[in-house]
Amino acid sequence: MAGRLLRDPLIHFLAAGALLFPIHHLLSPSDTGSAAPAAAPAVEKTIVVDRPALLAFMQYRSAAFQPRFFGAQLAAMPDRDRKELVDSFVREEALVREAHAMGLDTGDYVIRRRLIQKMMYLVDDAATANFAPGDAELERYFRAHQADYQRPPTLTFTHVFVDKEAAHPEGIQRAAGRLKAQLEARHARFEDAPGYGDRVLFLQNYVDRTPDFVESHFGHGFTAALSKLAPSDHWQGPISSDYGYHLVLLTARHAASLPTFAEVREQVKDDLLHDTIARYRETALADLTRRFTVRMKDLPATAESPSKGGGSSALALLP
Amino acid sequence: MMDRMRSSVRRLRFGRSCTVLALATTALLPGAQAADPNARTGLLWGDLHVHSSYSLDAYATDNDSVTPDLSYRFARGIPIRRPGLDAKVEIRRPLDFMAVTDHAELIGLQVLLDQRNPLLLSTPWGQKMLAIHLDPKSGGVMRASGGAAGADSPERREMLGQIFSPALRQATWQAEIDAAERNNVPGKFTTLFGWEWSSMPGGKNLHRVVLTDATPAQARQFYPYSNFESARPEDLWAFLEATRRRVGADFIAIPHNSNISGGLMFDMVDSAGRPLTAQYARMRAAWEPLMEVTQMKGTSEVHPALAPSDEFADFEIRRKLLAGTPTPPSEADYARSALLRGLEVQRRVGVNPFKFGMIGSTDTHTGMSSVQESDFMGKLAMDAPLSQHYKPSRPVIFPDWEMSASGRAAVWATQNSRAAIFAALRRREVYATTGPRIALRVCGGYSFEAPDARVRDIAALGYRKGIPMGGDLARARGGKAPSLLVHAIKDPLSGNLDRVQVIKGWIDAAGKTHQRIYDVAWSGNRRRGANGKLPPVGNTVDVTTATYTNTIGAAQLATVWRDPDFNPNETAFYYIRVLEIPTPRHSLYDAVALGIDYRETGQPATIQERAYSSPIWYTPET
Repeated sequence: MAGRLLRDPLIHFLAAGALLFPIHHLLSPSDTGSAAPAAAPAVEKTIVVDRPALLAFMQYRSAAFQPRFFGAQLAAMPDRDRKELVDSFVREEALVREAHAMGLDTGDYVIRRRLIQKMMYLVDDAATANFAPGDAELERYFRAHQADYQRPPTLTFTHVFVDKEAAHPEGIQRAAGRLKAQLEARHARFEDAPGYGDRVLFLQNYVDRTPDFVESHFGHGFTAALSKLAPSDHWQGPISSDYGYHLVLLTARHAASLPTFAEVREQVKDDLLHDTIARYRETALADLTRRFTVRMKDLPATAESPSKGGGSSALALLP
Repeated sequence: MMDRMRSSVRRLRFGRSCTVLALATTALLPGAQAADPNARTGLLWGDLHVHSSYSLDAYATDNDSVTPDLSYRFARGIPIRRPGLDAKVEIRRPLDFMAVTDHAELIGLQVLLDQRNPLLLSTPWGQKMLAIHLDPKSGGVMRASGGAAGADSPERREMLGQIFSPALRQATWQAEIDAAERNNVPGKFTTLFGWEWSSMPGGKNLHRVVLTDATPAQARQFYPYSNFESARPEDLWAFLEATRRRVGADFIAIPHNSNISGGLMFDMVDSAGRPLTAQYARMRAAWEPLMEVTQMKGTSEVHPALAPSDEFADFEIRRKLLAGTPTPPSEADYARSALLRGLEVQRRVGVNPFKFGMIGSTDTHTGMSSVQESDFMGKLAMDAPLSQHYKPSRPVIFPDWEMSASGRAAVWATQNSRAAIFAALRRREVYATTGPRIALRVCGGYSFEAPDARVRDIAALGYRKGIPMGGDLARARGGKAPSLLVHAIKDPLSGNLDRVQVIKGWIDAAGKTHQRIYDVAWSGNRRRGANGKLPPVGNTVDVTTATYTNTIGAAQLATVWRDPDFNPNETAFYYIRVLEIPTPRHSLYDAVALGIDYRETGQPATIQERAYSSPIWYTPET
């Protein structure tokens, strides 16, 4: 009898649990500060095994949510497989209940994050329950946050390209210089650009394009050089990029502008909603924490003289 | 405030710095790379497979806020709030076009519950679903309702009659139409009306994205056909046929994830198990001119077991069905073998059922179309934050690192409008990439000469002397071999180009199919080895920092290739594959950010991004 007991995995587990339980409580901070183990909550001792429970179990286990597929699988399952399934379900359930009873979920940060996420869903739902702003309110918000709705500046130019991957017997810089002289001598216009230089890689003409767009094609150096130029009837450059040299005819530059309220109404509404949620969260969390007594205990004294670099060492570790 | 949030999002994936990435710094970018005015067609970039919070499974995986409207706005370059994070995000490069394609089945159920829709709540099942929806411990209405594929029963039929009634379907479809209309900016950003028909018999994926060129008034005269009406593709096509007759709008159905169809997507039998007939082939070819060859759940071009001599075949392969069960490779699951099967069926019944062009799209369920390896937002909203990729807090159906940051649909269209884009999709003048904006022109004809690859305006010459990708070539006088004019240009924000390949498939006189891969243009001074293969381009990726340099590869590759093994009596197809140099895979960026060895991700450190053209077919006259 004693031999069998020693070989029984359940007994091993419970024995280990008996050791673990007080240790866990010793390590956990508790309200009273007392190290005495609290009475374990009663564990519900009946595990109900039915079809919905098994189906849910199968789906979570496979990390796939296909009730019909698993329903069919369950229906067609031979007795031996079904017994195995039931066994693993019962074990999982027993482990989870025992873990709850032992309070193992309390110190687990992953579980805490998930609980917080669920609470925040509820908070956000409450925040948006009565959200129905009128146009006047939206327009006020728009006026107060105009900087967020600025449209970026734009440039209009065409270019003649000297490709560093193409053959230039005279050297690429000299080729660029010769082309520029040619463009000037022939008074080449915007629409003449396709007749000169090497085959362009991306676009020939950049009409009302933002500096970001130009930068996504030719990089930061090119765009910075281009934005130093003034619009002109003359060919300018060459400006270099990763791909070679460009002679540019920059004809227009438009400053950043502000759209009308009507044009961005939907976006404003969305932004106001976002702000409303953020504000509501602040209030809700402040209300919630007010319901608790926060007792500061044995905190290290605040630094009298902050380090010269500004900011604590902990902050410096953040990206 | 918005700026602060945006910058905090950019910092989220710290460590993802890369020498060639430029960050957008302003809130509003123009939505489009407009058609090049010098060419007959211009290149437009888009995503034709995006799920918003209106998809049952998207909402169930934490996308409770990105509606169709916000999904379009994100693609246009307007910042939106990312679900699960207190932060706004904006797309790095706005798209030129997009379709929100929510699952038709129980479309918008949770959103209707959030809105306390009176029509829904006037039914007992609507009330029951609301109680489940509001109970954080319930597991949600997706589970309670049985999702897109619950088993049929009298009780379920009663439930569907109440929570998926024609009036509710009409209302949610109207919301989708309205969102598309609000965000359609002529010449800048085109929205297409569409949905997903989610058939999956036995967990095997037969999903189709359905798109239409309908006007809003036409679109209001029907609502999305669902898996609840029928799980058979033949019935979907019959619906499209009947609806076209009734309302006068055209449709196309685009199969996706053939790779996880368990041998069903390009099967040699119909849904009833009968061998394919000419009638079936005509229907299929008419409604399915395209397939989605690459997306987040893997790339379906080819499987290494189906093309053992193709050293680039083992690319973003997914070996699990939707339900997570392993699936062996089947010729019915991959594009190349399906194109070959099409030739076989054509030989037998006279019509090719699998005559499809190829596009990529994401199938994102976050509402945010995201394909950049360095800035991948995942397939599911629950993939945020980054720690979820490493140690998820609950079971994940599609683990982030197993997903691909893919793909994009490239369209050669005459302008950025619904009509022009739909026409390009119909004529298959479209192609797929695994994310990067690799520009790819392919023209087939009989009079291209080597110097044609060096002309300035390749497009004008290509259209003058040949036909573009997606088209057909017939027998030339004297049985002359066709040639292809190919021009590939790198994505300015991605890796240089390694090589251009022609992939040829054909059927011989005995009815046996064959495939062959030709390297036709490549960077540097590499020569083919004794085995006939071009050596690898090299690798500049530093796995400790997830950075690379464009010191290898080419900015553009252009060539004229004539088929050296041409037999004028054999039906054949040719498509182009363009490979980039190796660059860091999204899982490597994560590993660097998390400070772990990339091998812990279970994924390769690098990826050779690529483009697949739609094929050009050669058919001797019959």
